[in-house]
Amino acid sequence: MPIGEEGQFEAAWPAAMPARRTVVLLRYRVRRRWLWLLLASVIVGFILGGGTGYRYRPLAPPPLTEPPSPASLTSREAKGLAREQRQLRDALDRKVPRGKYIVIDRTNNRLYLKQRQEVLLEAICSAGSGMVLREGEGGKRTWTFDTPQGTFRVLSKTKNPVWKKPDWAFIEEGLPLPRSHSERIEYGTLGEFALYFGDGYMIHGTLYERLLGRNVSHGCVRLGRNDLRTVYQAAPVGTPIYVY
Amino acid sequence: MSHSTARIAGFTLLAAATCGLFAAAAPPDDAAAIERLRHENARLKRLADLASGDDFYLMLDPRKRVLQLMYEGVVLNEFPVLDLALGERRVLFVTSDLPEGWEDQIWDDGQLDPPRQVRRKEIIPPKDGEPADPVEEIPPTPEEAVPAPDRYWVRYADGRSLEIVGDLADEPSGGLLHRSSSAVRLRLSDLAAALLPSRADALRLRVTLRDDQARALYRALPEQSRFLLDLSSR
Repeated sequence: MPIGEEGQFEAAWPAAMPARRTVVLLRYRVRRRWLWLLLASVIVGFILGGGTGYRYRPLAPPPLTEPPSPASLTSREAKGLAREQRQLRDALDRKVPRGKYIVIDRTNNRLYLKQRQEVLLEAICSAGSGMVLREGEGGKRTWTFDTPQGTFRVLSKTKNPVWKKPDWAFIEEGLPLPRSHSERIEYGTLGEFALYFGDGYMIHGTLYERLLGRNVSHGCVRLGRNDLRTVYQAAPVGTPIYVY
Repeated sequence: MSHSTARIAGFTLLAAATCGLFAAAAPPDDAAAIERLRHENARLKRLADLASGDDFYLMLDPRKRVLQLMYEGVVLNEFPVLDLALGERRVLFVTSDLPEGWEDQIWDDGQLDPPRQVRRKEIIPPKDGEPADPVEEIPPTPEEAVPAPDRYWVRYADGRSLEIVGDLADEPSGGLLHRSSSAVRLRLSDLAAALLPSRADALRLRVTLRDDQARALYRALPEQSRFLLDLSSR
């Protein structure tokens, strides 16, 4: 049915069916009104929607100002403020390690050897897998293999470290716990060097260098051979380690 | 009064008068200089507060254009900022006022939005007598284990949020339908954030980073981190 002026309907419609023509005409008028209302709602919605949300503008830094020279300050208040400022700056400066320090990104598996703001080494590592191991058969112990987060220090360093396997290493493989100490000792698994930073956690080498970059360890931080040697030689005992 | 006592008294009076003259001649400290000192000391106190806490924090320096992840006053990682903008909430063309003093306050209790999906697997040890599974599953890469969006928010208390966008977020990728649906979703999210009281951001700081760095930060950002906008005037 063509949409057009009312006269076109009347001209096209047989005069013998006035009632049906009226109904159709009314339906056409109502439908056209609804169409206009719908169109108007959409337009208004776009306009109002465009005016609602977040408007962004560039964030400009504050203007640079020259700090007042201490010699130019005469009042007691100003001298006190200057003294306080020196103390605050000194306190903040003391927080930053003077020598080298290690930063470990345990999620992206990156280890950084840094000194002040300079990155001396960026290495791919493997941190804790995050997996959970529960001791079965009535045991209540549960282990979560995360690399801990926070601040630590290198407590000791070892060449050709020997792994003394803890209980979870046997439980994980479905083996009974050994009766003698010697049954726990494993050679060569930890690589050429190890830096111990507390609670059984170490930075050490690995036999599976192809897995570096993935979270595969039981909490320790694994490094490739060359990077491990660099870190071992550069970081003395007492070197801060930050893990996040 | 003896002659020597009179002399001493006279010299003392003369010295006092001379000091008084000098004191009167010295110019008073500039009020602006004292205000700058106070402002800088307040900023340093905020830094000291963050450095002495147990929380990780992000520090944004608009002058150096860098976003730093820090802990105990030490920079752990640094991300160059490609673009920086301030987002103001607007409802029906009326812009809301920004919270007073927002740029001088530490923002607390940051939560990622969308939240990181962390799935922990449980190791099932082989039973006694059964051989260990010879096929070791290769664990996923960090990108596979924790997929990161190209745009996300760190929402802090009091309706403040840090919007972090990868520089490839607006680049065409995928088909027209995908790009259109992403744009519509973002628009609806912004509308909801502006209108719904439970989700309204009083202000947004939008930081654009390199795409890989934005995603790495999403994966690694510690929970409940704090934030400071470092507006140093030095």
